[in-house]
Amino acid sequence: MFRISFFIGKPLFCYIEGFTTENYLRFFTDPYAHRLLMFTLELSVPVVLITVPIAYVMAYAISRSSGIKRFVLMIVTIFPIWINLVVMAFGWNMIFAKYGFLNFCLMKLGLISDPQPLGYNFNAVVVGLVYVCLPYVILTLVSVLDNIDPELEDAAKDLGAGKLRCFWEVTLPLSMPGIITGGTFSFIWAMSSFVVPSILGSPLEKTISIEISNQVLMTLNWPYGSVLSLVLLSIIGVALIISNMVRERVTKWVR
Amino acid sequence: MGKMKFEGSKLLNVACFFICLFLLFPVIIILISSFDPAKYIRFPPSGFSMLWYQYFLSNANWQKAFANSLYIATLTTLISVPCGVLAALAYRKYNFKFKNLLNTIVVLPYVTPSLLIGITILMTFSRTFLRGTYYLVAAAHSLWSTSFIYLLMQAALSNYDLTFEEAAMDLGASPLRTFIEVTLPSLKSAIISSVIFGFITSFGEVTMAIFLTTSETITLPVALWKSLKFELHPVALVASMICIIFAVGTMAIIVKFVGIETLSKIGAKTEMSK
Repeated sequence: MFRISFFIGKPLFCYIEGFTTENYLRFFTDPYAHRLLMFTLELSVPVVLITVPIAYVMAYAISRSSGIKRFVLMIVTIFPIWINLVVMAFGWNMIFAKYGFLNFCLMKLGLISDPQPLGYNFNAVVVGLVYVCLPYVILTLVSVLDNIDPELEDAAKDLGAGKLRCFWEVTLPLSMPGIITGGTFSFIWAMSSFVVPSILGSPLEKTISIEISNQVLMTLNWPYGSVLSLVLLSIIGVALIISNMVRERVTKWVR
Repeated sequence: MGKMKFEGSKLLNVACFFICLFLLFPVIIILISSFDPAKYIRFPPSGFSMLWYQYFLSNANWQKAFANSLYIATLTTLISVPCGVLAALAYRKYNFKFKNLLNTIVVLPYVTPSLLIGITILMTFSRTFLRGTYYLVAAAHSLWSTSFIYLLMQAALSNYDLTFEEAAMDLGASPLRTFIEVTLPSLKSAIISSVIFGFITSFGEVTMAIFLTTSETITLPVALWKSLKFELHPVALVASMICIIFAVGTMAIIVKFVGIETLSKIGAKTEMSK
């Protein structure tokens, strides 16, 4: 792919062998490409900020329960991983559709009188991506929370800390590495996901992954598609490196 | 821990309930709507019928997509189960020079976005005879399912006792015979789970398949994606239900064989490995 990114791009002909940096120049000078990248980042950040707290609540509940309750909660968590992305996106698509569930409820409640266009926009994509990321983040946090020694919490309480303070000063810092991993994961997934925005998003607001697929499948300009892919890959790489650094620092700070 | 009562435990339970509802919501909606006989999808459903199920069963295109999916998933299982199982066994049993590297390489496909894997494979093989064949899709899916199976087997092997193998060898069994008569039977449940795991990861995979399939080799999820993108038809609900049924069935079997805790660890591990 790296090699193709230097080939001469000619729409509809995939690529012509040769050497040019034109495709890179196009990316760095084209305001459209910048908007694309910014939009993708704007999309990923809310996804992370919504996913992690919700996942934390659920993970906390799972790790503090046992027996049948834990089993049921686990099953419900793992279930969305097993159904494929299209089905998930389809489900949300139907909820947000013009004659879908959400409009039906709002109309029954008398909040709106006519069906509103709720789907095919930014919010729908965010909800879809949160849904996709949530199970994985929950599982990460569960494994971290399970490893926290309950005696530490008990000790904090014996020393007179309130329950809230105990959570705030003992449990939360100890689970920081899990939060960072989960957050990074959902960021990466939101950046690179293709199916969810392609179904739930509006055709006018493209993420970088959709533009990549358009360049490869529709415009057939493979070199430019490769440049975009490499940009995406390097963003992911940078995100991973930063998250590793932060995680190490946090782990040290906690100990 | 059972004695410890969290102050907001009631609040926590309520929050939990809503999160569960959120997680199951799309599936419930699809389930309800798939029995709607109406020609356009809308909520609430206008009645109950199996009309679109019958349509699905009599439509050649959807049938082909379904058959393709099964075929590709079978191929993927055949490729990835031996690879994943043997790699995990090697990791558990032997010490070799590139042990850590093996771990990284096997898990790498899982970390890379599948969009990019799909495009790269498409570009690499675009001018060869493999383009658009079942084998290419199966190979791409195997990359993914191998790393899943590897992690599953690693979790299962962590409490596997190596002394039985040594005992068999001491009693004069050849390495091959030991493998067939001692190793395989004792790992039976883990291997069965791997087979199902490999099958379902391929059956449900869509991002790579979008780039690698043609109209001849189209898989069920890709057909579903295309119908969502270009013309929405109620039969798509039935196709979704089939995917969901497969998911529920395979999940039930695996939970029975390896237990929910192991399964959840794989989910967590795939991230930790980054």
